[in-house]
Amino acid sequence: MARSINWLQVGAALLLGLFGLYVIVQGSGYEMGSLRRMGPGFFPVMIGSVLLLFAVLLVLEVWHEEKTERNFWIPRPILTISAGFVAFAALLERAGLVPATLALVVLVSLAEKPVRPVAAVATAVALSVLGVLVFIYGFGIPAAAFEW
Amino acid sequence: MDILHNLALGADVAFSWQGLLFCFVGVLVGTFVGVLPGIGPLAAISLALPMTYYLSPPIALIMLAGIFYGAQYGGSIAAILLNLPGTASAAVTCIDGNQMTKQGRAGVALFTAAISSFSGGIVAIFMVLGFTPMIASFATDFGAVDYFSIMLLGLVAASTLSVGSPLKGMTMVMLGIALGMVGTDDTSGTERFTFGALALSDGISLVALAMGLFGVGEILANLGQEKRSPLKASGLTFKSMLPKRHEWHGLWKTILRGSGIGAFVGALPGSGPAIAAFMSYAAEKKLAKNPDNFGKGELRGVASPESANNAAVQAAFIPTLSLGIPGDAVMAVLLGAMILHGISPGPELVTSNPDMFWGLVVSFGVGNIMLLVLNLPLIRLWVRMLSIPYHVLYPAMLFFICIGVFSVRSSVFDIYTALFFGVIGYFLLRLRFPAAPLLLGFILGPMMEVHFRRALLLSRGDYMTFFNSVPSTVFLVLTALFLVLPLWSAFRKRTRRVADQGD
Repeated sequence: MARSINWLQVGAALLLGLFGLYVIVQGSGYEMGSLRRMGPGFFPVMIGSVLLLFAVLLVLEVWHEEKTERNFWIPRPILTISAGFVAFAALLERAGLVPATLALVVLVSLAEKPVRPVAAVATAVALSVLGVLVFIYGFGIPAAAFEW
Repeated sequence: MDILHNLALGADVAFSWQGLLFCFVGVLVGTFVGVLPGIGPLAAISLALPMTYYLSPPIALIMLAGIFYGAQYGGSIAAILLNLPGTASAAVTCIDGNQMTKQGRAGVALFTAAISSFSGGIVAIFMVLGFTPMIASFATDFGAVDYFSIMLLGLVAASTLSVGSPLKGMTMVMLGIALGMVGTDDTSGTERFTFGALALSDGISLVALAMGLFGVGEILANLGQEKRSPLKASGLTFKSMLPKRHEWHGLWKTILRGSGIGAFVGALPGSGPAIAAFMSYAAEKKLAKNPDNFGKGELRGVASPESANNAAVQAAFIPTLSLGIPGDAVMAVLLGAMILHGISPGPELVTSNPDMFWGLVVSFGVGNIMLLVLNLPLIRLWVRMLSIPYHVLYPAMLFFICIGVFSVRSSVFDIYTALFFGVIGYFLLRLRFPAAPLLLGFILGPMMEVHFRRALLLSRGDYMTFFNSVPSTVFLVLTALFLVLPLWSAFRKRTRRVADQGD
């Protein structure tokens, strides 16, 4: 019985192998030193090689693995959460914690259908207040509620 | 007696008002995240880590540890009522616990889970008391070779003992070590894998990595799922929780066995509470007179894994506190916390920071008693917690992740790091690559490199140095066993399959 190839798993293993290869190439750019007195390049090349080896073995292991990955690609949550994080990071030092929190919470609330605008805004406001009280006044993190 | 003197010292720390307060905060937060499916103790500890900067190191550790064992109590609640493990280690509890809920015996299951967790915790605390100083004094002569070998053993054990493919686990360990190399090399001062970015010269932030993999990744996986089942639990009174006499009969033996297995398995490097719970359940089923009852709402099927996972959590402190070697990813983060607080973990910890070690151990006892109170009379409060809608919960969690990551070193870059590893973590989860070994490799990797280079420097480049020391040789032989074992079982499975086909 010919089973189909699990390309998702094989692809992941190949990516890991490529990463191992990159670690070797990049690592060998640093000074290797000798066994007696190792340079900063020795350990990376060693680790990269083992990673490459494991990745190759992994390709063999997962070649015919049963396909159980359902709902693998979920663009909506990934995109909305990414947008929320980027907005938070970008706004935190430019506009302050409150705008950053509002942007984050509203954006990530779009990840799931149905979107609940009232709940999202209420959560955003509550978290902004909490954030200012606990993190700015309580812990004194280096950020302002509003950056003017 | 010496031990009484030490315990008194520990009691001073644990019973100070800060000790009691933050122990309570820890176990409360722990139960909370344990109850809620989708946030594990790991995400919660990483989240709380930046907030402990303002506390003295022993108090900080007391609180962070409280989150870890508190989560084991809470994890069983969601497992029993919703058939959703609140923490990975409660997965086994789902089997019989949720069956009991369907039969209307949820109260009894919850009561038994709390009592079992408590007993498991107490048994393991005595093990921590007895073994940690002993192992630590044995390990004071350890050299670089021994440290390298025992860390290798820990990593190999962690990846091969985990559920799923051992090869995937080991690949993740290597990936973690590779990520751990980012930043300035301690020995030579060379910057490695930083792409010239200043933000990476101190390496990847541990908190950002952990929160990305275990916080953001889990949330993405939950959002991608189809509908979650709503909660159906009502009529939970304290009276309905008490088991009947025939159900109690012989249960204490089950709890003791579970505690023993849990404490032993938990103390081994690399095996966490989830494995302990699984092994204890399997053993109990084998020993039972009527194994067919398991899976159909057998009370022992709740008592056994619950006593084991909490025992394992407490016992996991043995290698961390005696050798400075974390057994699993949560312990690795706790170790990271100690380092951030300026405490160098290792065999000297017990003698150089006695207030820390003994204070922590006494606080385990205090915390377990608090948890028993939190979980028996106040159980309905936690049950209500399960009805917090996810559309409120996940934005709040993402907010705490963002601000928590930022506050560690005031770096906006780390927020992007958390997002990056969140997406990676999601895909790893879906492809069944375990993320815990990655984190363990990330933390142990840099230490291993230092010991590896030191060992070969001392031996003038002779690899045989790793076999010239007795402890190191023992660790390497054990490592080899852990590597061969999965291969052997895979081989046996294959030959059996061939034999079956031959029939």
